[in-house]
Amino acid sequence: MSDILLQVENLCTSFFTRAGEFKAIDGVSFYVREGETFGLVGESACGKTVTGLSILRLLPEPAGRIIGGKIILDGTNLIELSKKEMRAYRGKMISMILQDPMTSLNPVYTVGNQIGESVRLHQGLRDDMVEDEVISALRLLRIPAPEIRIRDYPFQMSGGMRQRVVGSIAMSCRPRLLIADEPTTALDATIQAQYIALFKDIQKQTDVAIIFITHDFGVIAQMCHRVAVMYAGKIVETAATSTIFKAPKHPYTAALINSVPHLDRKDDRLYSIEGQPPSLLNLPPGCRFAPRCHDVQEVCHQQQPPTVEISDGHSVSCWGVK
Amino acid sequence: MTRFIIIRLLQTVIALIGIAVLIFVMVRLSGDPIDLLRSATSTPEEIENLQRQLGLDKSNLEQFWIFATGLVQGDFGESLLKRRPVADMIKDALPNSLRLTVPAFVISMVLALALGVLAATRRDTFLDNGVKFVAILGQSIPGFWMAIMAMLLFAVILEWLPTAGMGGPDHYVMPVGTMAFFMLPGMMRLVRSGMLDVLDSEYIKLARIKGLPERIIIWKHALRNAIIAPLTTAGMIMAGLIMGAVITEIIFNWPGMGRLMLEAVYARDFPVVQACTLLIAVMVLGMNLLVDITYAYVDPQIRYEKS
Amino acid sequence: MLSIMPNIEDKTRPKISGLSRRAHIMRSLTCIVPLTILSLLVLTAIFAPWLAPHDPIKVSMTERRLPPVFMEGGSTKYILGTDHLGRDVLSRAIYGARISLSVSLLVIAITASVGTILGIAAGYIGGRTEAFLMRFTDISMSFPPLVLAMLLSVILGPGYITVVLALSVLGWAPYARLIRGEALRIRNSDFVSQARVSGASPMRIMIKHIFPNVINPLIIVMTMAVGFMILAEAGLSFLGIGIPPPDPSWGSMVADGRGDIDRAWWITTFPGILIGMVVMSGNFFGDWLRDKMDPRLRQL
Repeated sequence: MSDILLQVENLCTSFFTRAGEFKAIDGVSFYVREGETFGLVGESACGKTVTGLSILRLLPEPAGRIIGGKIILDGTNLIELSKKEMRAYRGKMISMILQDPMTSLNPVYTVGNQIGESVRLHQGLRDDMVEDEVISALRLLRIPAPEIRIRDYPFQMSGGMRQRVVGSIAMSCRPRLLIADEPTTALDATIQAQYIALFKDIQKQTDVAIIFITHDFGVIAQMCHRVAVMYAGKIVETAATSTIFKAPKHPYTAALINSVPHLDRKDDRLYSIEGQPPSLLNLPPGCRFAPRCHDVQEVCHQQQPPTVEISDGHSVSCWGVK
Repeated sequence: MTRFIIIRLLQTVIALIGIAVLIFVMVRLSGDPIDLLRSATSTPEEIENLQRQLGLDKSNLEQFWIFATGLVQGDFGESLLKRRPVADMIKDALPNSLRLTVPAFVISMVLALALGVLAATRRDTFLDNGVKFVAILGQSIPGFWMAIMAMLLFAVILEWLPTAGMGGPDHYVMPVGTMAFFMLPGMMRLVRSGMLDVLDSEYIKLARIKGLPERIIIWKHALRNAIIAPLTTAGMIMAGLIMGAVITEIIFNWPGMGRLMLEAVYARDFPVVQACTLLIAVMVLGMNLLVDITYAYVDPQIRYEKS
Repeated sequence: MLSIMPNIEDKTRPKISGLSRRAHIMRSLTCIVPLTILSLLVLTAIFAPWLAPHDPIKVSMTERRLPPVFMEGGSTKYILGTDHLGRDVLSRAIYGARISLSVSLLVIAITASVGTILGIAAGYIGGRTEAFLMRFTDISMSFPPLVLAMLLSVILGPGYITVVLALSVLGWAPYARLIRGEALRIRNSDFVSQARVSGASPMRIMIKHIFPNVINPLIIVMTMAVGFMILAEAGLSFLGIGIPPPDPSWGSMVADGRGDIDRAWWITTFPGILIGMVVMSGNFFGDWLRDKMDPRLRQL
């Protein structure tokens, strides 16, 4: 069992708008081990992306703010760092891949320039050595003919290639933690599978820890060692991937897994969850999933369920779980 | 890239020919060209000479040939009022105009970039609101009126600056300021809105993720993208620049192209007006070409397009 | 600011559009105040003969440069004073509204029609027609209308028609550019393909399908052009190549007072403020309309 790289404790992030405070994430705790892939799964707007941005401390200012908790990376609480110190962590220690490869590269600079910039900044290399590093970053993501591609502009590349370039930028300084925010959602199914295989391979080579943010349990199954399920700004269940698929304890987790289409299942009806997540502006006092839950009890509407560790590494917050 | 420039150059030449044809046709449609080209004091002999010179007895095509070859050789005829070759008059006036336009252009460009970027990065602060206010004011208040008010304040009431005319450095303050006032608000507004759009983009987010300092994010990653949209409207900005130049020269009695042309308009001195129009057309088209090249430089996508 | 809210989709996004009270009031003020000023302008232009206390072009050499009523030596006879020829500044300003408004509306009607037709044609037909029209548009947009006005003023002689013509000959270009972009977008939409599949002629598609869909941006740009055209007419008249004297244009009124700036500031100042106010109202109202109808057009 390897060491813990990232420990997030009771993280709370809010957006302050004219309409009031949105508790985008509210008391989220989890940890990521070195070299493992940790999945964060949930519907849109459940706070997955905000969690990622909070770790990088890149919430959109001035509306978004971390209002509590700790983010400990390799012994350092990131929340306590100055802006400048935090900047030195970004790109070097922690990196992130954004969802849309079509818009996440700067259209007016070559890919070589955009990767090289990171390398030059964090590794302080001379110009002639930068190019070698850039090429090796492109190679790591298996981009063919990197010596030529280095002079290409993003618009000269396909979506899959661009997403690999984004990956190269993220991996160029060999970060210890990579946050991948739905990196495969915008890609075609075949390219998606290639990309996932590629990342598993990169992880073997570099031992990088990955937080994989997705709404797709199918991707989780292929990619992640452990997974946390988020709902309306809270983590409702955390467990090893195999455990969660075999024995989901939270009704929401079970519903999500059920809503993944399976070729081998006979009934052709897709399962879907009734209702909508609560407004983050006006949260109910009890369990946030209660209004949509099948096994709702009296207490669910009144009090928030505590997080209970039911077996090693498997914790759930639900009144229905004893 | 070379191909792109050659195509644009050809288009420019075609546009120039078009403008020459337009002037030629307009002059003939409005009546007898002689009426436009003779002065009140012309003798019948001079008129006859002029007729022969213009080839009015020949076909329209030949007339145009005479007109066009004259233009190419820089022969714009003679001023009806001053009895001087128009080319000489322009040679005197043009540098004076540039002496105002160039500094005004540089000043407003630098200010527009700096203020536009600062306003966009410090959204809803005092500075941003100030920039927005100046932009609205500048696009609403007539520049010519503003210039007169400045004259009233600085020259008449405070007596800090000379009212008008060309002279030492202090003569430049108000005219250059007025011209900059014509250009600044529009440019500033465009830079600001372009910058706001870009700052919201994913690639700026990615630049932050890389850990780049804010300085590089703004001046390298954001600005270059932010000025692509304003560049497409550079043509309009240039039209505004020339309008501003004419008005400024009139108000401050500056012996440049604008005044030369307007005085010629008052005196119905057609050869001068025609020559100035053509020269301004050449400058406008030349600047358009320059903008296109800049555009291709800034936006690689243009450079690599096959057309 | 909402675009930065990560992953909050419409179904879950609470109504944040409900601005605070103060912001809401400010927002409606940017519509009400300009609209009031513009309405007053229209009424003034229509009822000028009844509103103006004096004949705007009647010269009175004995009453030259009389100050406005609130200054020493001013009288209620000439509320805003008189100019260098003893003409009533207020009456001239009232009649000036007619010129400003009629020139700008006429020019906008002409340029919007021409620009819309060319823009739809370019956007729908595409190919070489489009390339040619758009290059033509670019050049027209960068040619200063002032220079054209000067040229026309010599060839045709100064006058109302010359002003309208000078502003119209180049003014269609921005419309063509915008409408072409919109037409291009609409051309590729499903309902146009549908119409094409069911055998509608290009003419019919342009009139029945594309035109109704460009009306919104068209109205916005037309509104925004009001202020610009008023400013342009004033500029031409200021330079003496617009509306010829003695007809009162706000621009020429500013010019009239130029020589007297040190002794009769009111001749220049009042018409200048009027131009500024009206143009600003036009711009604000245009902005408001754009935000309301089509926020996509923020770049305009």
